[in-house]
Amino acid sequence: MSLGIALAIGGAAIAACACGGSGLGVGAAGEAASGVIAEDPNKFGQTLLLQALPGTQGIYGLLMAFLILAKVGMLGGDPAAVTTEQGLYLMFSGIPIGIVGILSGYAQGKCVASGLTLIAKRPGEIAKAIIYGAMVETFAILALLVSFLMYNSVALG
Amino acid sequence: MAVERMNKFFVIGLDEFRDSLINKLMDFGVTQLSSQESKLADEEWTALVNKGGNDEDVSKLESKINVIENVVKTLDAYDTSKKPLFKCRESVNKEAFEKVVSNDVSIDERIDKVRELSSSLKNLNGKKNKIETTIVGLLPWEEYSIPVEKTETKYTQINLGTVSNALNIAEVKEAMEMATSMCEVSQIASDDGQIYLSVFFVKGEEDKVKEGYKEIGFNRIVFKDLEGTPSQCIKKLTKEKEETDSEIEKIELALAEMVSYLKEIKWLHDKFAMERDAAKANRKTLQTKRTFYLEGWVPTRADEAISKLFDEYDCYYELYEPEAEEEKPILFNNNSLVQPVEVITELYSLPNSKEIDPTPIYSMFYLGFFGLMFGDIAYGIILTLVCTLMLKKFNLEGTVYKLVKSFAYAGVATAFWGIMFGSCFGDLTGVIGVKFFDNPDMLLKPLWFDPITNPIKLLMYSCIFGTIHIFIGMGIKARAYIKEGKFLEAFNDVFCWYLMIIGLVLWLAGDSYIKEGLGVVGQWITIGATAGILVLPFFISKGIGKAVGLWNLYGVTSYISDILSYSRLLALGLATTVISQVVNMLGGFMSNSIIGVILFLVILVIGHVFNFAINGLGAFVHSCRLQYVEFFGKFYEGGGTPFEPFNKKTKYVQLIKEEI
Repeated sequence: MSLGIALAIGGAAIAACACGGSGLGVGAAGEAASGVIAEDPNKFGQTLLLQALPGTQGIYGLLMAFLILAKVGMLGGDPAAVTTEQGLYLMFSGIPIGIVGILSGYAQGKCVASGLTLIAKRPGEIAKAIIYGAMVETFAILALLVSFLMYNSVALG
Repeated sequence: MAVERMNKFFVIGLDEFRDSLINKLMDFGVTQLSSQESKLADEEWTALVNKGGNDEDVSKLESKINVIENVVKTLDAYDTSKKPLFKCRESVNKEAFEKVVSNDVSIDERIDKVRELSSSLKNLNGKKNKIETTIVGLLPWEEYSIPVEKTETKYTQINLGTVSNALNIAEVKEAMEMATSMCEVSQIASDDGQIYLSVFFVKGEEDKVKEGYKEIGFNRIVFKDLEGTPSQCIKKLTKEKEETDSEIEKIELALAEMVSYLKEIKWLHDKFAMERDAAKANRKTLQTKRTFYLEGWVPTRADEAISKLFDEYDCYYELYEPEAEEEKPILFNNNSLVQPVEVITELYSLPNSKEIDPTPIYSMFYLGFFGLMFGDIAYGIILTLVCTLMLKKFNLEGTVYKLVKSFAYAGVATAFWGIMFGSCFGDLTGVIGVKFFDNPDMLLKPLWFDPITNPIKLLMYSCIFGTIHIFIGMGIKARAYIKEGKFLEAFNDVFCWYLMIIGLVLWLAGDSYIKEGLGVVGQWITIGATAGILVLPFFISKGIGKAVGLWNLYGVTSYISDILSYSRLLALGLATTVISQVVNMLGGFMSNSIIGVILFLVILVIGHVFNFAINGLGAFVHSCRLQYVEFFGKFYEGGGTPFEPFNKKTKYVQLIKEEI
C-alpha cells in the first residue's frame, strides 16, 4: 500500500468528521425537542422534522468519505495506484466539508433548538424555523460543493 | 388574477329574517362578516342601533360544547377501533346529519350517562387508592395480634409507632427503661428504614413515657376507622379492594359500550358548534327595533349568488368596491396545478392587498428545483404514488391536502429529472446487471447528461436557472414600480442590474464559453450599467441620498452570492444520487448465495428508505428556501390577512354542500 492511498484515506477520515457536527447539532435539537414535547406531545412530527435538519452535514461528510474511498478502490478491495501528490490532493479535498460540517452542524443545531422553542409557542411558524435552519446549512452545502469539485478534478490513472 | 377580487357589502333586513339569513350565509360560506365595534363607538350610530344578539347564547353553547368535548375525550380512551393516520372529517349529507342530531334528547341522555359513569369511575379510583395506601400502612403490623382500635385496658395504655432503625431494639428498650420501668416495649417488625414498636405502659406514666419517646424519636401511629387485628383488617380491605376493582371493571365495560354512540355525540358537537358560530355572527349585526344591519366581504365571483339571496329575503343591500388603500382579505384563486403550491406562500406570508399572488409565477420553479435536488425516477414515482394514495384514502383538507398534493406533483418533477440524469435508485440497474446477469450495459443512460461525471455542467445550469429565477423576481418588482409610475426607480433597481449581471457574465465567461468577442461587449454593458446605477440616484433622491449609488454598487456582491446559492441544486442533487450509489455498492458486495441476496435486499431497502427520507426533506426545505430567500427577497412584502369565510367550522363531519 502506498503513502498516496494512506493520505487519501486520511482525507476520507477528515470528511467523515462532519458527522461529529451533526451529532452535536441533532443532540442539541433533540434536547430542545423533548422540552417542547413535554408541553404538547402532538408536536412530535414537527419537532422530528426540525431535529433532522442538522443531520445533513453528517450525510455530506459521509458522502465525501465514500467518494474518496471508492476512488482509491478501498471499497472494492482493489486499491488503485495513487501517487503521494494525488493522495495529498484527495486529503485536502476532504478538509472543507470535514471542518465546515462540524462547525455548521453544531451551529445549525443551536439554531434549530431555538426554532423549536419558537414552535412551542407558535406552531404555525414552523416554516420560518425551518428556513432559519436552512440558512445555516447553506454554508455546509457550499463546503460540500468545494470538496466535491476538488475531488472531481483528480484523475487517477 | 390569482388573488380573488373582493367586494364589500352591507345589508339591511327585517328582524324576522335575521336568523334564517345568517344560516343561509353560513350554508353559502362565501362571506366574511366584519365586526361592528368601531360603529358602536360612534355616537351617530349608537343613537340609532344596538349590538345584535347576546353573549349569553354564545357562552351557553360554548359550555355545552365543552361538556361534549370532555365526553368525547373520555370515550376516545375506550375506543378500540383503529385510529386513522390523519384526523379527517367524515363526509355526510345534510339530511342524514339532521336526522341524527334532531334526536338530541336521547343523545343528551347518553352524554349525561357517560358523564355519570366517568364521575363514578373517578370516585371509585379514589377509593381504591385510599384502600391501597391503608393496606400498605398496615402490612408491617401483620404480626401484631391485638385489635388496632384497642388503645387501653383497665390499667394500661397501648401505643403503636415507629422509630428510625438508626437505633437497634436493645438501645430503644434501654432508653425507655431509663425513662420509666412501668413500660414494656416490643418489636413487631422492622424494615430498611424503621422499627415498628408496640409500647404498653401503666396509666399515669404518660409524662415519663413521653420523655422516653423524645429520646428515641418515637412516631406514634393511630389507625382510624379500622377494627380488628391488622391481619383481619388487611383481609377485609383486600376484599373491599377486589369489590371496587370489579365495580370499576363494570363501569369501564359500560363506558366501552357507550363508544358506539361516539359518532352521534360528535355530530351533536358539530351541531352546537354551528349554532355557536351563528350566535357569534349575530353579535356582529347591529339592530334597531325591527331591522338588522350586517357588513362584510364577498368575492366578486359570488356577487350574483349573494344578491339573489338578499333579494329572496327582501333586504336592502349594496355591494361596492373597497377603497384602494383598504386592506382586503386575501383569498387565492389558482388552477389545480398551482393551487397546492399556495401552501408554500401561506407558510411564508400572504401577499398584502397591493401585491399580486406570486404562486403561479414560482410554482414551476418550486417543483422543478425540488425535482432537481431529489432527481430519481424511482423516488419520484414512489413519492407520487404514496401521495396520490393518501389523497384517495383520506378525506384531507386545507393545508395538509395542499401539502400532500404538492408532493405528488413534486414526485412527477423528481421522476422527470431522474430521466434527464439517468438515475433510478441511483445506479441500481447497473449494479444488478453486473451482479446477477454479468452484463455491464444495463446501466440507465441519461437523457441529458450524467451530473456525476460532469458536475461543472450542472453547476453552470444551476446558476443559469437561478439567474432566470432571480430575474423574474426582480421583474415583478419592476412591474410594481411601473404601475406606480416610478420609471426611474424601476431602471435603478431592476433594469440596470439585469444589464450589470448579464454584462459581468459575458465579460468573464463570454469569450471562452460562448463566442470570441463577447467579452468586450460584456465589458461595455457592465460599464454602462455601473454608470446607470451611479447616476440614477441623482434624479431620484434628494440631498445626501444622491450619492447612494456608490453604496448600491456594493449590492453586486449580494447578487453574486444569491446566484451562487443555487449551487445547492447541484450539491443536493449529487447527494441523492451518490448516496443511492453507495447503498447499491454496499449491497453489491454481498455474495450471490440466497443469504447474500437477502442481505442485498435488506441493505437496499434500509439504505434507500433512509436516503429517501433525508434527501426528500432536504429537497423540500431547500426548494422552499430558494423561493423564500432568493426569490421573495427581491420583491415580496407579504403581511396580508386571510379571507376567513363565515361557514360551517365543524370538527368531525363535513357536510356535503347542496348545489346552489
